[in-house]
Amino acid sequence: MKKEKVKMNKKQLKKARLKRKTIILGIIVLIVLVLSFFAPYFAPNDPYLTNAIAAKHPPTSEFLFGTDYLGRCVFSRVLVGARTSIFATLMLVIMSFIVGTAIGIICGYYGGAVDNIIMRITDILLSLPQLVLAIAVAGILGGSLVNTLIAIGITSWTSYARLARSHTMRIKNLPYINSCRMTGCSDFHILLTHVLPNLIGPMLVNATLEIGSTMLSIAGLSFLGLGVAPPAAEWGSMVSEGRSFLQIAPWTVFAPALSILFAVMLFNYFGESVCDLANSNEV
Amino acid sequence: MNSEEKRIKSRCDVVKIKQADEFSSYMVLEGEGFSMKKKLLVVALSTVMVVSSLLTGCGGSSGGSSSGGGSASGGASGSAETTTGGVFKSVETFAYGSIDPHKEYYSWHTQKYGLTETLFRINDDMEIVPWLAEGIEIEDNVGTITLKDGICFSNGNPVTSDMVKRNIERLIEVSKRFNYMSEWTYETPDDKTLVITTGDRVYPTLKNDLATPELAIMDLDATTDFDNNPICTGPFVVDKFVPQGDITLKRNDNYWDGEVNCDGVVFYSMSDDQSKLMAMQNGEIDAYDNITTSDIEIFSADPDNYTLASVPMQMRSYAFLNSEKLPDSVREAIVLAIDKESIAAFLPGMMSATEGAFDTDAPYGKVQPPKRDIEKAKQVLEADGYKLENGVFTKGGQPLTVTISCYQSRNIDTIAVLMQEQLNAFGIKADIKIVDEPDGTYMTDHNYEICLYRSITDKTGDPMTWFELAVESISYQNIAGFGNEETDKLIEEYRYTVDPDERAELANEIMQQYYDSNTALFLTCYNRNAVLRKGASGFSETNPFEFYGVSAKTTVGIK
Repeated sequence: MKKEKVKMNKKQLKKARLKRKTIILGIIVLIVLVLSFFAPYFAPNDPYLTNAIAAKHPPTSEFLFGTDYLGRCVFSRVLVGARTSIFATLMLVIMSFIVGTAIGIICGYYGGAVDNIIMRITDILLSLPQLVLAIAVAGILGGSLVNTLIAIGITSWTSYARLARSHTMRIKNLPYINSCRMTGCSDFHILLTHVLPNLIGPMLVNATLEIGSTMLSIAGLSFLGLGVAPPAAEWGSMVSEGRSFLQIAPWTVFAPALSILFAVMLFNYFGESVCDLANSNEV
Repeated sequence: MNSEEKRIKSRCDVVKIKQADEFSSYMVLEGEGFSMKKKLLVVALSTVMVVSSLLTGCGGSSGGSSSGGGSASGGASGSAETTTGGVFKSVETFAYGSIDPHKEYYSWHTQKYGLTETLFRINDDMEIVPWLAEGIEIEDNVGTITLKDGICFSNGNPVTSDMVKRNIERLIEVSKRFNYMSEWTYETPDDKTLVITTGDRVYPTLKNDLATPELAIMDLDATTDFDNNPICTGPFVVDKFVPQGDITLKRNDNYWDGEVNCDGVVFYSMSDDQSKLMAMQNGEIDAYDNITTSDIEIFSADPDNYTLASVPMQMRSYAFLNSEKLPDSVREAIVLAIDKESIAAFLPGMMSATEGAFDTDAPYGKVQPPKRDIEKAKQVLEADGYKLENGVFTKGGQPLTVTISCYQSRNIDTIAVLMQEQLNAFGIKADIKIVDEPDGTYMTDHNYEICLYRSITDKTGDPMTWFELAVESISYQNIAGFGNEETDKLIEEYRYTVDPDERAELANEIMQQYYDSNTALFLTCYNRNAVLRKGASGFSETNPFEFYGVSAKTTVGIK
């Protein structure tokens, strides 16, 4: 009896630690989001101002991360690029989440031909290498941030749809859903009031886990010249621009590359924590 | 967890333990047989990994970073450790599917590889000098070309005047750009003489035209595969050509102009600047040109191992201002507002600012566009009803915006960024649109406001090629709405004018009209920058034209 009590305490302690870790990470994520949103106000220099005399200068107190081949302040561009990179990622994840969840719920709840058709489409989309498909789509649509989001978004909704569908199929057969039906509730009401709230947790966990990979996809396409149009600052395109000067001005590559690394790690770590916390709650 | 779930879980655990026991018993029973199998498996896996790494080229250190699946070894063997003999290695930026010199611009590459040669060539001082031809005598509308003695193709067959005539006829048939030559007549009184009659009128640039790389002389009878293995007169012959990939050439043992120094030549297909740089640093190649600004910095810091050569080319970057989309005042203001010197300052060594399409010291380059004048640019816009409000020119409440279309090659995109910044600072809101390649987009559909392009503006030491390329109504680069009958007539007159002073006067008049239209803004003049490994030479690095490269005297660098 005493052993069991100690065991319970350990479990609770672990859960509490997990909760604390998630909250701390959540606060860091929030700070990064706020900072990136207001980045243009923090930038010490004009991120777009070129200066032939100051081109390729190593980091100094005036230019914290040095200057690029056009003499632009790399630190200011990294800050401004954060806004583009992070908010474009969040927008894409939110859009994919909404579209994917809506499709998944409908497929899971109604089943039948519509479910079959949509699920076969998702099978096809999932069978294609996502980045290759995105490169092809972005290549056809032309290089711009919106087109990049569309190119990645074409496949990114599928994981949400499949997850939402499987959860909906499980939930729809539970007794309380049958009771709702018997009381005359409409399908829309059931989906909105009883199905959606019960699957939103795992869906959100999935969304937070997707942020890191989505950010890498956007940066990858930008690196290939399919993202933002110059001179707009975006981390992927900054790495691409600085690549030619890697041997003589490595800071032009390392500053945006490390920013990508930091942001992706942070969001992935946060996603994992949320996932672990959600799992511990289920147990 | 309810009792039913616990029961199922415990049953699963039992099954797992059973399976584990069965597996370990199997291991014990098999004993040595199992470890033997395991060893074999390890050997097999290792073999597969080694073979696959060799196939994918990961394990090889030779051959450089060839792309396109082509073998870099071919038949061009030899040591690259001495300054004589060996295989000279370089890189080719563009990928193409054929090496038929009469098609497209493939001759620009084949001539660089030392595969093809022409009757005349342009030397380092931009003079037309004999190559396969001994010389040319021009009298009115008749040009008599005498071929050199002893010239032959790589298969040993002699080059005859009849073969030269047939090559010109094939070029006219294959390439539309040389249709004008179909109006001429060709006679071959003997094996060494070709007489060209240029219609009823004198054609002053006949010699210049015969120096164009497209007029490569092939053995049309012996060549069976024009796209992959043309038989020509150069110091090297094709050993292996991979379409869209590498090309390997070997020494032409029958070369007509003395002994060929190198055993062979390899040009790897490599479009990425970083790959080229690293290939040079790794010792995989002996030389390459079109090096970037950062490469210039890197190689100039190591003069003991690399030789840098830089000569001004006649290649220029320029912007077309679409007269159908931009009003006269806006075009004029843009031409007056752009600071070319400032653009060139960002790309030191790569390019310098240019006044117009031709050098100012050329007799046909005396007329130049107006110089930068911000005040005048503002006045022009204000006279047309534009007002400067909050740093942006507006008309009827609408801000003045333009889109600059460009592509990512030879720093064209960098020029676009700098132009955009200058226009924004001036008061014209500019955006940039990047396309994959210009020829399939704005150069053909003409859907742009401002677009950037680059090409050789003075190919043969005469402005006629530029007139035919960009000024005439029917020309390929007449995309900004300039072409008109009046200028066409002047060009036609120029074509047949002989007197040098009159020609210069006419050329300047044509260019004056061209500049006055404000449909083209010439920005920078490129340098031909080449880097050679210590010991390597003979890459035509001092010639301003990129279509010259290796020759019989080319030597390989020391590693």
